[in-house]
Amino acid sequence: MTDNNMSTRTLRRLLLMLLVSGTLTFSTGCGMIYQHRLESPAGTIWTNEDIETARVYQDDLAWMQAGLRDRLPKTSRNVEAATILIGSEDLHSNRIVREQEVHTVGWYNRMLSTVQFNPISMAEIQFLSREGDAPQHGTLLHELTHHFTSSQRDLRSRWWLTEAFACYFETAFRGQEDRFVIPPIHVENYRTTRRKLRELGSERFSQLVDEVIHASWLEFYRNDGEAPLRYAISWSILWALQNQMSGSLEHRLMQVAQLDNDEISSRLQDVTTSLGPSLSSHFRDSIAEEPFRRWSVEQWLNSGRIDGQLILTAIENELTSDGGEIWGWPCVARTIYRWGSGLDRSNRLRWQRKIEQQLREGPLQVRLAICRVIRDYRRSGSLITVLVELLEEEDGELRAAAAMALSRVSNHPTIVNPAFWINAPAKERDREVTEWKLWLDSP
Amino acid sequence: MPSPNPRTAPVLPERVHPHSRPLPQLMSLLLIAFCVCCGCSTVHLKPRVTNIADYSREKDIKTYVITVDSKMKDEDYKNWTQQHFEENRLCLENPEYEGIPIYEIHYHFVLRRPGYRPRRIAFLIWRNSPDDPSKMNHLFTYIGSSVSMQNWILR
Repeated sequence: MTDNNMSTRTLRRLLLMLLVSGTLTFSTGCGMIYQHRLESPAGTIWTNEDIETARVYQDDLAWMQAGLRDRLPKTSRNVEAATILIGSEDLHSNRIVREQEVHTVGWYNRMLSTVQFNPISMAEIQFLSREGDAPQHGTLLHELTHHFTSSQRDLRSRWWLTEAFACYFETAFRGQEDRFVIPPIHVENYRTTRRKLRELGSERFSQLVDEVIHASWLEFYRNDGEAPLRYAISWSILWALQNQMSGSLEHRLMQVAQLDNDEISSRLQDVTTSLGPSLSSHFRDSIAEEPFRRWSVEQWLNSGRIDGQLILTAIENELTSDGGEIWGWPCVARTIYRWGSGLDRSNRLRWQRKIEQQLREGPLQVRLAICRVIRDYRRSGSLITVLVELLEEEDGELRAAAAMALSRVSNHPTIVNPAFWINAPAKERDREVTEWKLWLDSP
Repeated sequence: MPSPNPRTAPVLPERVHPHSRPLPQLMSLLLIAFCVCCGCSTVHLKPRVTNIADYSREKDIKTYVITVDSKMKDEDYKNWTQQHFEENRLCLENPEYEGIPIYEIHYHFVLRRPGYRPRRIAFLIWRNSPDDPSKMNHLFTYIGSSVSMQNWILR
């Protein structure tokens, strides 16, 4: 056998092996890479998360699927199931988060009808977000919207419009009775675009928007750190223009989609005008509407100046509803202790006494929830005494939450490690508590 | 035909190719080309740590602010901090509070250059491994400056 024949045979064997292993991988449906496979109405989920977390995703995706079908009935008519690949948090990873890549945790591949999602760790969420419990499902919802709209002719090769649709739905949340509720505004995108408008002025802003509308794939998705701004502008255009249309949501969105890019460009003045009102004025409008009340409170509390009285009135309305106390009391804490609440002194003190009472006597879940939101607010120092009392509580989690809160509101050094407060012998914990009490009593 | 008398036969000069170069010159050229191909890394100045400040407050969280004169490669922040806490045995003992194991180590890297305002360029967290108290897990490295101060406090 000649050398030539031997190398040809070797190459053929190698190719055959690759073909077989590739076919095996696909035929087992990624089972060689992912641990769990679950079915959902949205499609097949493959994940390496533990099974409990996987079931949460399964439930989330079922809700998303139902919501998108409800809001986009015609668009979603012939949409088939997707493949959803969900990575897992790896505690031993060399995880590097780069400033401009903060938002890139999910992808949609149209050819393979595949959504890929890499959840970020709680540490990163807390660090990068102003919220303690920022929902992660926005990214999944964003990518699933791409899947639902991928066959729309009017969106093809119009990258700004493709992302605008996905951004429009990504902020949807579970309302009462699991309703799919789309908030009146995408707060982050509105804030980003409005800020840019104020920075550039109307004329230069319109030029920027025009560039975004006419951008090619490479131009729109280039990794120059400005992609989040392009997403924000895209959403702003769609949001502003659909507000001028009539009919159902799907009808309004599709009416915008049917305008060609030059027609969109001719309406940029409407977009600029829509960005005029402040976020506070939007929250003031929506806080009175029941489906948006909790959303408005949460979003407003993430802003600079707030109308504390209006927020507390809205929270009071929610305290008696289902889950109202666990949701409401932490929001009260976030309202009354911060700077810029706009509350008068007597009102603030009245609510402070209520918070202290909840911390001492409220249900365990409420006490935990309040501890977890307390930050180094201007007036949180008044809580130190009651938090020290909580260090002697029977429930280990509550002790740990109180210690974390104390580390944020006080300059006195303490042990933060939750494992200490949950598991350490009482004698050792008592030593820490005694130190706290001595510090409190000292002049 | 017999060879000419070696003592009397003229020594013919060697034929020299008109385009050939001496070997040492060729080696120098290759060396320079090699350096250029390596991206001039042999001449690029490495970032220098000019100060290490301890800003720790909690008993079981160490916080360091590391001042550097230029940016490191993204991966090098992790390597440097790992070397730092291993050399200082922070995963084994707590220098200020004996008997209290360290829970987290926070590193803030600040870039300080003449004529420029200092700014944070990287932030890392290492956390004590629940399975092995003598080990630290790298939670993440954040490369960037725009995250506001309030977010630097994770707890």
